Amino acid sequence: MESKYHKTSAVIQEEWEWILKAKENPYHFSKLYDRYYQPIYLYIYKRTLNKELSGEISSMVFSKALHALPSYTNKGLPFSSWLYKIAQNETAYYFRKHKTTEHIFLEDEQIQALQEETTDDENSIEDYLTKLENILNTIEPTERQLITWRFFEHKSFKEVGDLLRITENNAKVKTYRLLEKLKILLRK
Amino acid sequence: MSKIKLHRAKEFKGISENELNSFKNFQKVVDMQKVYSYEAIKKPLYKKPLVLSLMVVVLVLLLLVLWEEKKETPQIPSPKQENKSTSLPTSITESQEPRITSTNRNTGIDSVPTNLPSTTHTVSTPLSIHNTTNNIVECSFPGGEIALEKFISKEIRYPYNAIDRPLTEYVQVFLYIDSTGKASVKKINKTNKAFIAEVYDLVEQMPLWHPKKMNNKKVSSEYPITVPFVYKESNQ
Repeated sequence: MESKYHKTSAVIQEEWEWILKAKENPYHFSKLYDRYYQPIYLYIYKRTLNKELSGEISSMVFSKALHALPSYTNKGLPFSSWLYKIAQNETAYYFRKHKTTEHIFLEDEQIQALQEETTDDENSIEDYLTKLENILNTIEPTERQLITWRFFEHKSFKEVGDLLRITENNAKVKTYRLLEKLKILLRK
Repeated sequence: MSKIKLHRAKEFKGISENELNSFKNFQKVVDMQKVYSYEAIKKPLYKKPLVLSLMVVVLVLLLLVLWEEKKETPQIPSPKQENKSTSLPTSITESQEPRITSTNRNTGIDSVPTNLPSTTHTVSTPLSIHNTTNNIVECSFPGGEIALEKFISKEIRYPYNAIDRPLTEYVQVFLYIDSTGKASVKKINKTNKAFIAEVYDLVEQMPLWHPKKMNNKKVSSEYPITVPFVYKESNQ
């Protein structure tokens, strides 16, 4: 499956030219806005399940991207990865501030992979999800973040370490300890 | 902390394109960006990281300069002393070396090194201070530093009967030498009571010192010494 972040070098180059133009005149940003509005909106909507709120946060994401555009440099990465990062930060900030329910949609393969790692019981996916949800709502926020980043967003240990401001090895150790903890909690 | 709700991906109902596009508004994005820029411009100067870091650097430099100036400021002699000073000493003789000048009077007892086994004080006097006070002759023990050292090592007795456990200590004492040359204890480091008593005995036994002379007039002064109490099992 092609990653949502994946873009060919030709597309990246094309986007870079648009960015250079947008740096001079913000109205040139409209091309990038048109291209990424839908994916960013859906990314936020999947987490909030609120149409108006998602529209508001999307506008915020693009306006922040436009504001920070002068400092954006071409590192050979697609522009979308930067936008997704801003969207992730904005939604995280929203949930932190308003303490509302965060929705996470998981593919069945993702759930099964986590189920295999944490339990020997062959419960149905629904049962397992309910149990996991209850546990995630009781454990420490940092532990929940670690599971979200590592198992739901498939971030590398290095990325997790960077986000938690710990080393890659420490992130690995914490993840495995957390898996052990999940195993124990799921048995109860 | 916000709650989390897990769903299966296939439960996601999606959203129609019309609904999705109803929130699309590029002009709003541009306007919001302008607000961010305005806020950035309106940000107080002292809140800008560059200005803040510059302020910190300037403050640190200022403190360093002040510190250096404080260190380098020489002791200014009184006009009376300045007028009477005739020449600067070219060298410091052995007897002059341990002398403590009037400017060192306030030297705390803690400034004397505590780890030195020497019986004499080791306060070094900067040459500049001698230069400004060369009409002063400091107090001295009859026979000089070496005689004082010999006197202390000869007269000092380890109070074995009063000490219940082995203890080696170098006691810092500030002597007060009055204008007649009689020595007495002015200040003594906190230590064992037996050692303190021994130090008082020692000072009482001291011969008359040569008192400090200021403009050929005898005056009282202070003099730091270190009295060693070295525990030796063989002496017990």
